[in-house]
Amino acid sequence: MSSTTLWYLSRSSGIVATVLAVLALIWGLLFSSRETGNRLRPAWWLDLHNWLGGLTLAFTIVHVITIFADSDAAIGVAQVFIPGTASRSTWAVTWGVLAMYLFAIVTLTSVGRVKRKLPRRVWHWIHLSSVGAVVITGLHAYQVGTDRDAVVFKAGLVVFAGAAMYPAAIRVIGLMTRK
Amino acid sequence: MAFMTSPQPIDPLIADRLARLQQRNAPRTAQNTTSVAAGARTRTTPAKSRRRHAARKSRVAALLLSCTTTGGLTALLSYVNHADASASQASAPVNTVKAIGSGVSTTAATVNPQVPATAATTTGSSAANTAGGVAASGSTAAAVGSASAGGTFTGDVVPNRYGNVQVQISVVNGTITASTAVQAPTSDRRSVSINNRAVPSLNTETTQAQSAKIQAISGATYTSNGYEQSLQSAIDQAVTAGALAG
Repeated sequence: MSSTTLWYLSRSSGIVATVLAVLALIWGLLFSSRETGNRLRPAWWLDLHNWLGGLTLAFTIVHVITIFADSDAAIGVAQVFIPGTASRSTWAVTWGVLAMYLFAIVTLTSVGRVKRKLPRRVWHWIHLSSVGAVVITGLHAYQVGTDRDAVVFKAGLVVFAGAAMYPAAIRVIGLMTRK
Repeated sequence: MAFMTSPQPIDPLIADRLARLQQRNAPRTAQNTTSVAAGARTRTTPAKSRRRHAARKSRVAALLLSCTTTGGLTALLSYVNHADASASQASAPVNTVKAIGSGVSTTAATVNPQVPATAATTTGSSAANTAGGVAASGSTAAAVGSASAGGTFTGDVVPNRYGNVQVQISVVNGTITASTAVQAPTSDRRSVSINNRAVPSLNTETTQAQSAKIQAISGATYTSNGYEQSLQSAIDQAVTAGALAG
């Protein structure tokens, strides 16, 4: 596979991973909020939320592997795993590395066996860090993304940010009202 | 202490319920019921239960949609990048350079009308001088004799992930007198700073080497590679037009 193809694949998998992350977040916020009404099939919501989270991690891995395999990208093992080591777009790559770690932690701690071993409160805080992961993913895409100047990219960013803000706002307002 | 070890009598209600539960679970048990002791207890191994996913169809749909989107986006990005490169090439001013001496006429050789006449003017021949002046006005450029032909030749647009690279060379008396990057990646500040450093060095290298065999600038690999490719195409055009020796 040529370097250019890997580059296209890396860009597209990165975009898909970001969209999946936002969808998983929206699904999670809607599922866990009392204010979003009674759902007839909570198991369906939870199952799809888990699946979207898993897919996010899978596509993030594809994104990382393709950018690593692309010899022209100058991304080595250190740049993939250690934040702040990239010579080009240092901050942007750092956000990407941190987001990758957060997605991995959130997804792996949600696996049945690991989840059961963790105290509920700890797991909840870890799970909430996915909100931060999505935010820094957006930052990573905006800073380093080749398509950031495209109108479609900007429109998509606004749409997805708005879509994520809606259930988040409902959730926060609900928490404040209850207290 | 004997009463503690002896089995307790089971409540008939509980026994009945257990029997019903056992009956209900019977279809899910495996066939490998083994008899531990004849006429005594039977041990049943539960069949490997299939894990049910409440959103199985949605899962498959999400997976297919994600994979298809990734593939589609890859194809779309590839198409857009090539279309951009073609558009850049099409928008570049293309004029005919005719080398009278060699009888070669080509539309591939491009002459940029924005280039000052002095940059494109050949010396040593009045006809060649005319060629430079005409080239600057954007019309047909004529050069007399392959050795004395001169002009400005713009190379192909070479796209890379940070932007396009396009090189223009000025040839006078069979010598590359100037080389400039008419396009270089400026998508971000970092690219601008890298190219501000790399492009002048590449320009100097070109006039010194008089060929496309130039050293890549460290830290500007994309620009260097694109520059080299575009430069080679500009040189090819100059050779075809007879301005440079092959």
